[in-house]
Amino acid sequence: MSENNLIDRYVFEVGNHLPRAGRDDVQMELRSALHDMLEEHGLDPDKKADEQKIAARLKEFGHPEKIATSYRPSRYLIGPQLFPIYTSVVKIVWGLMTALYALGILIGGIQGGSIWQQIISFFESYSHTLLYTLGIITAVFFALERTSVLEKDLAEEKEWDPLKLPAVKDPERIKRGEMIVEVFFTAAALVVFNAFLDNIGIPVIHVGQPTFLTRISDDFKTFVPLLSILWASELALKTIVLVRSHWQTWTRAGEVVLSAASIYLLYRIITEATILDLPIVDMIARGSIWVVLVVASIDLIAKTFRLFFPGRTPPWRRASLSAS
Amino acid sequence: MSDIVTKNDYPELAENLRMELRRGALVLAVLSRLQQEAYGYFLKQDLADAGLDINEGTLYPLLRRLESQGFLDSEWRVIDEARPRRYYRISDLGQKALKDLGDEWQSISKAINDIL
Repeated sequence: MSENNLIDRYVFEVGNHLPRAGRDDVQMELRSALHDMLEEHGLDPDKKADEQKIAARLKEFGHPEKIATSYRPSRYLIGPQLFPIYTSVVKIVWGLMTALYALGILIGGIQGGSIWQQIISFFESYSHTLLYTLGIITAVFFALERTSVLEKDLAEEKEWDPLKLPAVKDPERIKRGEMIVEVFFTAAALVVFNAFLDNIGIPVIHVGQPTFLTRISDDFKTFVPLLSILWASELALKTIVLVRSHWQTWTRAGEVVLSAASIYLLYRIITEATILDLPIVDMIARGSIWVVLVVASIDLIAKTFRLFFPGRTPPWRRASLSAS
Repeated sequence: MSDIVTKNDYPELAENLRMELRRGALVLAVLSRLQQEAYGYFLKQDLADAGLDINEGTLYPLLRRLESQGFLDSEWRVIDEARPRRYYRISDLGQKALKDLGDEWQSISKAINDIL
């Protein structure tokens, strides 16, 4: 995470309470106005020594939520105070619902139904449930908006401390160490499954001689070319991201496509192929891939969110940051 | 004073009344001053010098609202690379509104002065 001065954090926090449309413009003008104000008072936002004075000025300027409120139309369904919580709840519920539905279609597939029938019924049921659920969430938040429950919190704004504003999160900056590990393991998988395919299995010593208890099945080997294409694509994508140090929209989109392709391929492997020749070991391997499949599906949802809703600090993280 | 409005509530209620009273006048003042283009902070200082102190949290949203309603035009200018500024000026529609509001202000002002 990069170092952010108080102005960056303040402007970011105001933006957190604004809808995406027009947010950048408001933030740009606000930043410009704040710099004008600091200049007039001879303050430098990048000087640690000026921080207390800048905090006092920001406090005069107004609570970020109040500033955001003044930029929004006076009539709204869900106001700035609840808006970030509302969007987070929608995203979480949407994610959980999608994961459950994805799991449902996979289980449906294993029970013998056609994959296309499952997909059509998935989208029918999924869209109905999604609309219904979003409707209920919106109605609950609308009811909260119109009650006096929130007034107490607004009254507490006088107590706010600009120095406790959370840091600006750069959602597109990569975690370099994590990315290098991913690149390494993807490259390793590519090499091992292509150069040493016949030597993958569970080794044992039998009558003093090394041999294999079980090996990769011939069924599984038919998937290796597809897996290799996938890993090679992932390797290329992650290398580009690593070199650029930042995610971009197209690399995020590529990541989502490759994750979806991985899930599809894993699904085909566990439903169409024997993985290892020995049944009991094959069953364990299959169970492990099911777990991987569920985790990958949840991860795919997270990646899709990152693509469409590039990071805003969730309310629970902001609460923990301001408490610390 | 009724039971509902306590002494503790009064300052906040009085502030709300004051804000309501100023709101319409601010539009008139902003339209009038923006017959010459200016960026937000300059306008704030200009109004303060004229005796009308206005909070940034009120001024900037007001400028955006007047612009979205067609009473102001604006454009971003990069004078200092690190800090682009948005310059506002009154539009043709704004000029018409300024004249109408100005007439209304004179009329209300005279009436209120007579009443007070």
